[in-house]
Amino acid sequence: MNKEVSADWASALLGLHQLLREQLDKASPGVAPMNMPHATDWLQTLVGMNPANSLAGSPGFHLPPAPSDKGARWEPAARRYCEAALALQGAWLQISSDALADLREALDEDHAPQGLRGIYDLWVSCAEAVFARQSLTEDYANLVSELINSQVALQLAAGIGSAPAPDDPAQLKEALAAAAAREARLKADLEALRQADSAPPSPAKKQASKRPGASANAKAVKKKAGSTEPSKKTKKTQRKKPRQKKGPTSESA
Amino acid sequence: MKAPESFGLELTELTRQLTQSASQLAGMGLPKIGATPHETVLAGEGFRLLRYGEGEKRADHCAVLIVYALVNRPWVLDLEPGRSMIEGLLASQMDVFLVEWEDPSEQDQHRGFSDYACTMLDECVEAVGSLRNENAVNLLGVCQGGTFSLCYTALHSKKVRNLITMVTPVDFHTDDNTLSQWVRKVDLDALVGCYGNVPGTLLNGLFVSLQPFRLGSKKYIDLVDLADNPQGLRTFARMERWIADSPDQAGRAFREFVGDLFQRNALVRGELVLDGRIVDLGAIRCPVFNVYARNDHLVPASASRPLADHVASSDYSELEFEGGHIGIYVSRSAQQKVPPAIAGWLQARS
Repeated sequence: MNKEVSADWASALLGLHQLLREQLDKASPGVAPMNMPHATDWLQTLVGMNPANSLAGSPGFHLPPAPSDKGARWEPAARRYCEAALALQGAWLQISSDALADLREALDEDHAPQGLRGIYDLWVSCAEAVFARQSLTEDYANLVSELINSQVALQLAAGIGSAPAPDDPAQLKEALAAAAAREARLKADLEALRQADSAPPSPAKKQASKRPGASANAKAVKKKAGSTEPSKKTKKTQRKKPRQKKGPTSESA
Repeated sequence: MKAPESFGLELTELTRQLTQSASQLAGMGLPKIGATPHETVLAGEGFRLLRYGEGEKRADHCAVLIVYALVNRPWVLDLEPGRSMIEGLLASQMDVFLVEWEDPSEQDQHRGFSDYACTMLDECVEAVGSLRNENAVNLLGVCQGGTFSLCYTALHSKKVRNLITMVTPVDFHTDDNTLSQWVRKVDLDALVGCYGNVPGTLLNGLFVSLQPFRLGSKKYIDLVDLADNPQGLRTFARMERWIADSPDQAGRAFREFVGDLFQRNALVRGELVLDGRIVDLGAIRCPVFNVYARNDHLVPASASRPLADHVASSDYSELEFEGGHIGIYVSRSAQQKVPPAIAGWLQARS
């Protein structure tokens, strides 16, 4: 599939999608709103095959002018939000492009669907697979969190909501003092343990340390039911599983 | 491969079917959900405690208190006749109670995690115990409600006879937990400072964007398959109503839950503090039944399964459902397998 054919496909899918949206919009207000937040944007991007034609270029994306009294805070916040949105849009474009490449490969296989619906389903399947891989990466997670953070910052800059109030200084001092006291206690305990370790062990202590089962971590028996089987069958497939108890002071803490 | 223009006939037929489905949906009006008969047995501050079924006999049945999440309505457990976990539990001779969390008002934005998982849940547990003349209850925590139930049981072990967790996140930092990855660096103080109570629509958008092609596009295109299936369309409309109806989240509770669990994974690290006490899952010694979904994209099975390694119960069982986070509530397969398994497990221990 060359680029032009890809764009044709994207146009066809977009047409189908827009048709669907129009039909659903005709549904009565009594039916819950059916938002399709991303796919259409992505397809529009693909039709243009150019990020510049996408989100930032769409009529709805232009930010309103800064409120006159908040310009100084508004402009950097608006710029940050635009950058975050564009960065995420760039990732979407890559995902969409990879998905179309995967679709092309899948369509070359012997049992590939021939009808529009089958090809559409295959496209969704390819796209979700690519998306699942990308969305788990730290880079993508950073894009999502930055979009949320920048949107919040923009709203705060526009006077919507209020920035988090700083904690009460008196309470902070109190917490700091408590933490310092706790740290001192723990250091003292640690020092005592070190000194006890360096001292020659008494005969009684030696015996205790060799006693089997002296560990506080008792083991318990676990049972596992079979996969979606009714409880009667559950008992047949029980398995024993050792368990390590973890408390708040364990290594994992 | 055919060229796109050769699909004219198929596109025309798809259009006809979509139009037919959409016009039927339009004519249906607001679909009713949560129709199983119930009564309010306690109206507390921030919640209602519901009791299902009718008749004197229910007091002789084994009771279960369902604790659902804050992030959606519990009606997905009672979507429609034939797709209702609550109906399935009643049919299995259970006395079913449900905590319905109320939407937080602006004044409730300071309501915290422990207000839900400790204070309000404790009022419900006490009420169920009082109504049934029992000093310990069977808890069934679902999704985030499962995490609440774990915390409650760890802190009030004597008040819980048996604990069932369903699609419940325990270890929030497993490798395949997309949602957890995404929110790890969100500035929660600013978010809650901006909104007060966190809008449900924002969370809904985040959930949909976990599977954008499937949830944002394909499920609507699939309406073509329901053009001649009014019952299927009614079910679709009910699901849409449920999905779109996301309550706002009390700001402080949201910040604490996401911060402590999604960002710091404090529960399995033994660092979660509620009501001034560390929540030690090792304090849970009652029988535990952990039900999770193999293909759950919201709470991956990998997030639920570690419960086995943290509780001290000698009677721990698991049930793996072959489906997803929503399918475990509403699919036909779930109706046949999940409520009977839960009821059977509980009845064997009562």
